Amino acid sequence: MKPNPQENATTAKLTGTPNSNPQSTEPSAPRLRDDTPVVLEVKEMKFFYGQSQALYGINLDVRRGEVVALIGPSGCGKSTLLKAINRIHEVSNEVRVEGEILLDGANIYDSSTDITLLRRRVGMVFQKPNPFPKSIYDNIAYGMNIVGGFTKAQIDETVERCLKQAALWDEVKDRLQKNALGLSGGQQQRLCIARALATEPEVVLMDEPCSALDPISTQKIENLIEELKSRYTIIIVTHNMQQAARVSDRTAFMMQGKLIEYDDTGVIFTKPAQKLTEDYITGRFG
Amino acid sequence: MHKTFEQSLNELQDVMRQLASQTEDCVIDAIESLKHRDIALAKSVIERDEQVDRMDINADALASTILARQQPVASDLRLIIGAMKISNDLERISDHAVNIAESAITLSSCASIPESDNLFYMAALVQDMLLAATECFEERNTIIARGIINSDAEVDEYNKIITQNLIEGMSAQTVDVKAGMDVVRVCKNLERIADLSVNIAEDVIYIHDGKFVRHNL
Repeated sequence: MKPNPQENATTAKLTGTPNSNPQSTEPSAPRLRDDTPVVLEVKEMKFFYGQSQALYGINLDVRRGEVVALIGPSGCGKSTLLKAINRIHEVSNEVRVEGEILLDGANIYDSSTDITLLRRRVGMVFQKPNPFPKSIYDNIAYGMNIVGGFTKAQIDETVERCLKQAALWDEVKDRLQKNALGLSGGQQQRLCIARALATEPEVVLMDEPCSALDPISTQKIENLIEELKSRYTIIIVTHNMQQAARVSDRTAFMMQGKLIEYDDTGVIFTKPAQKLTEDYITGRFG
Repeated sequence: MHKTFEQSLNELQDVMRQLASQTEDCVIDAIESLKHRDIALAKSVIERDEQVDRMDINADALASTILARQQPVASDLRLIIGAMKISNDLERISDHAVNIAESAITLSSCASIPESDNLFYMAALVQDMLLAATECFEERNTIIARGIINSDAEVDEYNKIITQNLIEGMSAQTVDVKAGMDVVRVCKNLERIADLSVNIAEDVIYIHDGKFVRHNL
């Protein structure tokens, strides 16, 4: 029999309800405030390759200075979405787009959009490093030479700035006139990032930028992303889940052309809201 | 899920199961040795603590290897983090069982155990909390976990009352001071086992829901 040490002894049972009101603590605090201005807004984006639909009403906003990772199984539409952001897919007549992508509030799919200007504002770095078969210097100066009207001093300044921003300057400053194809794969990719920065874009798109690189070069690119995000907004497509977790502020998980979940990266990788996200990132499918 | 990862998780859960079972046995036997003045049983609790220590290290090593090699995320990550914390809690519970067993040996020479009714009722409560904590980890049952958190107040109350009664008894010289001090020590160790069971329950809620419910925050 239970003794009675005191009249009002607590008699809680093992299967009761909590007597406190514990609040959940989020896995990690986001780097950017919620009121950071949105630089890019994808609204009800639908994308068709001929008869085949690749994106189904994507809605996604990207804040200025943010790194957003797009993850998902092959064919989920993440690269299509990335390419839609600087209209690079328009080299093909087979594509059709519905919805809007607003860059600083203006729809990039308006008929009045200057595509050349758009691609200066939204730079792109591809999966495989693709430097021009020219000198290191000319790779950066290429766009300025095409546009014309820049002095040699302005171009020199831009080349140095971009190579420094891409953490490549110290390695190549004494051989700027050497052919870029002589650089290592990791250096070539950083050169491509430097080239993308030459136009001072607002947004830099990266399509699996480390997939062809060794771990050391990958780490350098990831460090570079960390450095660049103070000045640029970056959207990165990656198949490497740990890379998305390491470098991004927010992560979007896509599947079969749909955006399944978009949240702070700390939340996605510790407590995703959607079972599909959980199953994908824990490797239970895909 | 990668097969190796699944095997590693299963292996970790097996170790945790053994660790929980061994710790439960140590606590139950420590209380039994006290109740029945069984010195041999008390000594066996003290001896078995080393096995628990080894299991705790084994669980940590396995969990560390999984973290390093598989880089788990989401519920898998929470499970590994939770298991590492729970194995540490179980190891400390076993240490408290050892303390109780040592007191049982000392108290076996006393004519009677003061406050024995309250003490063994408190011990039964603590034992239930521990068994429920390991069960809720095994089953990821957050309802049981929240019940354990609630139960701690009753254990704290018994600890307070028993200690107060003993102080009064020792002051009035109706309780042998040496025996009284040993019972206070047993109470304190039982109370710590209850606290650590609450820690386990909180970690189960984290593993299941991803919510931190520690410190009433």
